[in-house]
Amino acid sequence: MFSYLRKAGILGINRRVGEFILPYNPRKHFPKVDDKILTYIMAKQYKIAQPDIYFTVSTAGQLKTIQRRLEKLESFVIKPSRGAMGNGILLINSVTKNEGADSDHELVFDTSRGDMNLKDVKYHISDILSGMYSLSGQPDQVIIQEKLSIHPTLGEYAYKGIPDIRVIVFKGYPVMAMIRLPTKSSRGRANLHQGAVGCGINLKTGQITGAVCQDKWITNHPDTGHILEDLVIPFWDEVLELSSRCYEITSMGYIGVDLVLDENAGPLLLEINARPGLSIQIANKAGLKPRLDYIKLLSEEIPIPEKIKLIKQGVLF
Amino acid sequence: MNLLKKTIILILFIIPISSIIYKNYIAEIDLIPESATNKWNLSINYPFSKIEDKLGVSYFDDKKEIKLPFFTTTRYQSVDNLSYLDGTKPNFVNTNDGNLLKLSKEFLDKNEKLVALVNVELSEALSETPLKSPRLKEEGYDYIQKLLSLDKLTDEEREQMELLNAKINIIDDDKAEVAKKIYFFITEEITRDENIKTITEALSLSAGSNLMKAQIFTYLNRLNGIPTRINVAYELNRVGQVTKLNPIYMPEILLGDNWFLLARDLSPFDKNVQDFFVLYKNFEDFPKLFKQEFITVRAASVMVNKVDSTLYKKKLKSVSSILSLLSLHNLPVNVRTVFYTVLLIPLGTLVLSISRVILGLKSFGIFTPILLSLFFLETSLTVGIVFFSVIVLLGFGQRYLLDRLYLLAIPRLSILLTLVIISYTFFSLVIYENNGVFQVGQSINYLPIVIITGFIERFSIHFIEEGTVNTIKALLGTLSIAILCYIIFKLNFLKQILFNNPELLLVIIALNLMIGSYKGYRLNEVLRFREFEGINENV
Repeated sequence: MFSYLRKAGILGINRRVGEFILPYNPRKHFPKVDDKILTYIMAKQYKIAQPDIYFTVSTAGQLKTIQRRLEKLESFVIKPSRGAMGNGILLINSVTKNEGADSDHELVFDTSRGDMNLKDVKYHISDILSGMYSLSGQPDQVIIQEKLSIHPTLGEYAYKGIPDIRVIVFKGYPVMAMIRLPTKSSRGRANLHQGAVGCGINLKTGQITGAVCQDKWITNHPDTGHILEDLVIPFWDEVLELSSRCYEITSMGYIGVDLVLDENAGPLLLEINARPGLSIQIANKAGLKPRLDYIKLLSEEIPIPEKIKLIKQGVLF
Repeated sequence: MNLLKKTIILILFIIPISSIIYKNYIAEIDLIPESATNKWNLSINYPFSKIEDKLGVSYFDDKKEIKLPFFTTTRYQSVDNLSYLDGTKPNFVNTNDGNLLKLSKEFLDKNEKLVALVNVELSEALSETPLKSPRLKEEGYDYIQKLLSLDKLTDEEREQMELLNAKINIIDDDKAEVAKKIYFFITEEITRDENIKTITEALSLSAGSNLMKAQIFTYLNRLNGIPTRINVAYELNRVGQVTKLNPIYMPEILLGDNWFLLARDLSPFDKNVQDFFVLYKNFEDFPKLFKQEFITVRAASVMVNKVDSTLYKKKLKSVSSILSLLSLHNLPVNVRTVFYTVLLIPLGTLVLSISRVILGLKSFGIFTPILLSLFFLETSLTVGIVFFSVIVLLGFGQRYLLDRLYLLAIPRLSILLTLVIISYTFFSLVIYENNGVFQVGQSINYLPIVIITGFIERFSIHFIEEGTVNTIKALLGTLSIAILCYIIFKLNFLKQILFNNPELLLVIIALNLMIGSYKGYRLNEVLRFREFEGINENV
């Protein structure tokens, strides 16, 4: 029954946890990736490019003065510090001031969930504070972050929202990558569980090798209709380098690095995941296990450029 | 798997298995105690021919009706399926001393005899609090006077009783102590002799029949102001085929509001109360009728679903004092009942491990399914699932509604909890009204309510975040694991094996160690990666 999975070298959940996460990701390092503010601070120390955080909200009391602070911003992203899978993230494309209306309706936000007034936004923030989106349901902090301008090459392919790139990094070597393109059914979110498209990426070139949507292989984007294999990810070398460097920040052997591509700045670190999902294998039409087994034999001590060089030479496939 | 893990697993297997081999083959103790019967079919036979002769006095009241002892419901016995031999339902009236069969004079004239059938279930009392007498307050004074009456004694007998009372020399303010002293006096000083049937004889010879002893006990108590009555009971122990039973007399005293049956653990009334079916609680109402065995009771055992703890304990003690010391049968009945269920929880965790790690079922939280199955166990599966569905639907609706009201998380959860309690209250009412439709096992206790509420909060967040499909997947996973656990929990055999051999829990730890080291695929991954089927290229 499992023979074709074995043949394709598919990594299952049990092996992922038992053979990679538990031995390579020490428990004590988890806060570094589960708390996005901590990740931000550490990445900053290592001079890793990432979107700016304007400010954070950690108590309900701060909601009173939030209008003053939000008015100054043109666009931004609201996200929980300890969220997972893109849950609780709200994109604000623009803020309009509605003179003369009462305080709740004075500000109108054009968001990824449609128009919202200040009350709606405050409610969303307090939801996050109460821990509704955090991994374990404990009270959380809210991050008000820079909203990125989508890279035009990628913008063409995505339906609304911002595509993000996921790179699985094992012992500092990028082993598999995919790009997640939001769709109509994912409501603009780059989350495969919610219906986004996942495209496998050739590690050597940055070209798309194939795509998956709702666990089924596809060739065209369901909403924009573009042929996905035509896409070559811009800044590919920088993407690989940035992903590799995240190993240094976290000291964790097996991570999923999420990045976005900014039109000007290139790849920016979005977040690091210590329990990266397995659907990336479907997107790449390839199993992770043989690649991980190969990397197991390599030294983690060698410098990043050499690791990337090895990968670009195609040692993994 | 490394050596340490393997060694631990091996040890965890060897200890319980060798213990069981020792018990079964060397000590020759059964893994499960022998079964004991606790359900009986009784036929109560009333021959009416010459009833007036037998009873001596007319028992017919103004309405030309006669009342005869029929059955009693106590904390130790429950009775149902009352019918006559031809299937019709009897008329009966409820009194302080049990239920009386109501028969008209015409009926007696027409019929030679009457056979009533009842189904009796005897149980060990779960609580140690004696049963309160429900109707005492209404009739109060007269009834107590009846229980203190010495009118049935002749002057001579009364004199003898008073002498005896003085001889025992009871000086105590505590009535319980007084009753105890009398009890021990009769146990020690009066030997059993079924041929001695009058009080005078019994007192002069220091011996008496079971009834004599009960009567002497009763009158001594009454002399000391303790209301006392004599139960007429039939022993239902070790009956295989249909057997005619002899009545046994068991005194019962009233202290404060509570009745205490005095045949609990000690002789002379010998056996455990749980082995007796009490037909009527006041011998004095029908003395001739009982003495002459006008009513005959036959019994046949019908159901086996408990074990003979007492016998098993004795056996253990004779084999090994350590085994008997460690046996869970030493616990009191009510604690034992708890442990029967508690010991099943690790089994549930094993089911959960297998379902999640090997089958790959999704569930809300980790232990929610097990707690849910305990909830089903408390309420019965039908009621459990119906209530669960109602609550899930409410959870959906309320969450949507509450989301629009912009409430903070904690008050929102409080409202949700309150709404669950309201639904639960309403639900209980509906169940109570339609008792025929739903079978309620026991009262639903508060813990499952909390489980269900916590569950809803998780459930509704899951629903908003993950969408309908994923939530329904997790919901179905949770329910299937819960139902699977429920089915396993319901297996009496497993319950007994674990209760009598709790060392088997070590095997569960060993199995969990093995499942915890499993790195193979989950069954659901076949489905998840089904696109790879047919692809042979290896990368």
